[in-house]
Amino acid sequence: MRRAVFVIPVFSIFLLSVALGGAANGQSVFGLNFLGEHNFRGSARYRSLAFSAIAVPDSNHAITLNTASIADLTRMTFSVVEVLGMSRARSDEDISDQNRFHLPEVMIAVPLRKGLVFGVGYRTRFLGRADFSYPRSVPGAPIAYEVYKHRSSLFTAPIALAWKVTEWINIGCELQIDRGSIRDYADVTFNEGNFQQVESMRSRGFSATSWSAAVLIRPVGRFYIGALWDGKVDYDVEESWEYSRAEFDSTALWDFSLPVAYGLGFAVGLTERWWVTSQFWKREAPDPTGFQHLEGSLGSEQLIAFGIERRRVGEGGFFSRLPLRLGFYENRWHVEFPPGEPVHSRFITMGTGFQLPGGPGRLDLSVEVGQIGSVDNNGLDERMVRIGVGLSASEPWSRRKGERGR
Amino acid sequence: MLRRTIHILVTGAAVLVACCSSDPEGPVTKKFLEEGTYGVRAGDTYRFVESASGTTVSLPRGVGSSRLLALGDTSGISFEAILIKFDFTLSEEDSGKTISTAFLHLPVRSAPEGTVQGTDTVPFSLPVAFYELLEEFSEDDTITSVPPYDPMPIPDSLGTTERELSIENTDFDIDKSFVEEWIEGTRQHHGVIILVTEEPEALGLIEMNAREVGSDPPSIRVEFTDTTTAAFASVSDYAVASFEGEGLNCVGGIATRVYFDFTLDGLDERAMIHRSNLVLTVRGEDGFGATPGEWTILGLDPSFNYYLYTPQVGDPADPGFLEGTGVDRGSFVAYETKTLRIPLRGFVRDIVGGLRVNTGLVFQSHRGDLLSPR
Repeated sequence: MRRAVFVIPVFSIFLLSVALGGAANGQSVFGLNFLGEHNFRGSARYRSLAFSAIAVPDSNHAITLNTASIADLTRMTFSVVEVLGMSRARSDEDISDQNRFHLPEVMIAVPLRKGLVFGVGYRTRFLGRADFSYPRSVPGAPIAYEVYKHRSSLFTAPIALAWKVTEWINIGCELQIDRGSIRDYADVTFNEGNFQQVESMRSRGFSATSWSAAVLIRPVGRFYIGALWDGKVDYDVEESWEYSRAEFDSTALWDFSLPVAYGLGFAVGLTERWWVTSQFWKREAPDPTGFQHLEGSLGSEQLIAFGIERRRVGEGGFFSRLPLRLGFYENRWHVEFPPGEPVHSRFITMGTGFQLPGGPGRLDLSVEVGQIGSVDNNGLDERMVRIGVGLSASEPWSRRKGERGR
Repeated sequence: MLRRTIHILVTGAAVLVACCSSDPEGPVTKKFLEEGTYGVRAGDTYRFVESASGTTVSLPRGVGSSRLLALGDTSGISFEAILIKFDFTLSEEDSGKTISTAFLHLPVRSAPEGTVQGTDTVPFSLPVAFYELLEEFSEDDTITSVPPYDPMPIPDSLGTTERELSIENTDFDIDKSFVEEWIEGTRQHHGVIILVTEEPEALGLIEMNAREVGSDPPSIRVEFTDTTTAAFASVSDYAVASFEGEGLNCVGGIATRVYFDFTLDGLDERAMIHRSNLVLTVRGEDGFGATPGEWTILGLDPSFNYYLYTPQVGDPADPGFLEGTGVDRGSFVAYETKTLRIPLRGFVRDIVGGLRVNTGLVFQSHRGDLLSPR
């Protein structure tokens, strides 16, 4: 009962976020290009460690950077993380304030037996959303407005299996069912009667199945090495164009490949409480098939991340029992804007977490403060604060005493 | 402490969620469109103007049931003649009586202002003469020119044939022998035609009741030798009018339609149409909405009601030219200079989309129940 007092309001926020997330998926304004903004996996704990904790065992969260990490779960665990982003995008002349919700990432993990954990969930790989319009002067006619609407979401439903092979090595793999769509609407309208709105819409549906594999190794003491291989995603893309003049409607089928991504990192426990983490993650430049306008503007994406964590202890004062996390990451995007000029995200991250009263479960918070792009190099930048809330609730996955022997 | 902290965080997050709002991304993201990295861009929006050649096509159209008969000239419209046929059926009690005097009564209702000469005002008048028609006419006919008539005018009792028609001078003595013979049937009565005999000094119309008014129609009134009177009212009357010059009109026995022929070859075949208009300029100085009498006496709306259609066939000589698909209808004030933008709705869109053949547009009068010259 006591536990429900905390879980219910937190879960309510989750549901509210889901509802709002549908209406306001969020990302950087740079996510208007290509597939959208890459959304790195990880619960609020991993976000507050700047996505550096690929080599961290985790017995509380089902949403981790490393699939092999969940092999340490001993209870059925449900994890969800929701992120709110608040930003100010600037160009030389203009400013736009944005508040956005990400669609939540969820994962449920079930220990099949000790050291063997099955998981399934949902996470967004890339996302983008924007609504914008520009006036256009038409000689001899009223002002016209170009109205654009962009909606993109490439997501995956991972089916994971993690195995604690020995005390010093975990392995994991995922079958990823990749789906999603990118829709772009471009309308031209006049704010006067008798003018018909002209509409066009490009819709691209993405469909693929891919694999990923991960390993978490503890060679010695408090030193861990983590690695992730995220296989090439060969999307089947179904593209359709629709116009006000239906005779121009068309469809096309083509393939698009997202190259292999890999991540490698370590975690070192300086003491029992203080840990340092790091990750390097990279994916080679995709072929611009289907994005010909980005020919020469797509580079490799990479992440360099560092984190430091003071883990909680079960004794001492209130603040002593809180974990403290700090991190920094730099993410270079695939898209270059203008061509040849990479777009970098640089964020300082921090966070903490709470043990849910009444039983196993955690509430984690993360704050990311940083900047995407730069006015000098990219013509615009976006200063952003992201607040992440992660909830993990656990229950032992065993038969009740009264059920034994039935 | 822990519980309170979590409650504060949860409440804070809820407030944050509730307070969120965003600016449009618009101004900032413009760079992505301009650089082309966004990948989707609306095409050009522009105004396409194609001149249309207008051809006036004249068609017969009867206006015999007008409630006013007009004579004179105004705004390029010439009301050349008035035709009146009387019913000379004599009542039984007047049978055998002898006519002492006969008058042609023309119930004038409207005329231009007179001219002031000294302290007097001389009413506007038209020099007219009355003639016998040589052929029957019908109000249902479309009479576009003066029909045949006996060139010898009908004189008055003194032999005078020149008359002055004005708002004050509406009863004209006529030779009683004509009336006697019409009554007796010894002289064919196809009708009387009233013609203007001289070009007046000033333009203007004199308008009088037609039989359709229902009271005080044009009539021939006689006085018998026993001082009793009788009146022979109009049973058919018609104003013959013509229009000089090009343009859209519906006057007298002629209604014109203006045929606009144009191509859209210069338009991008992938163009999507926001709006299309037929743009016309009404030259108010050349326009004419209604006669003063129709306006002030009958209270008719002086607006010009138009109808725009796309003909089945673009050849004015083909009967299919007179039929087609309606595009728009409306009205405008013909005597006010103005640019009309007549919406073409889906017409151009259909042509560009290949759903319709471009046979041009026909602009015509759409009088509805109004029976007035324009």
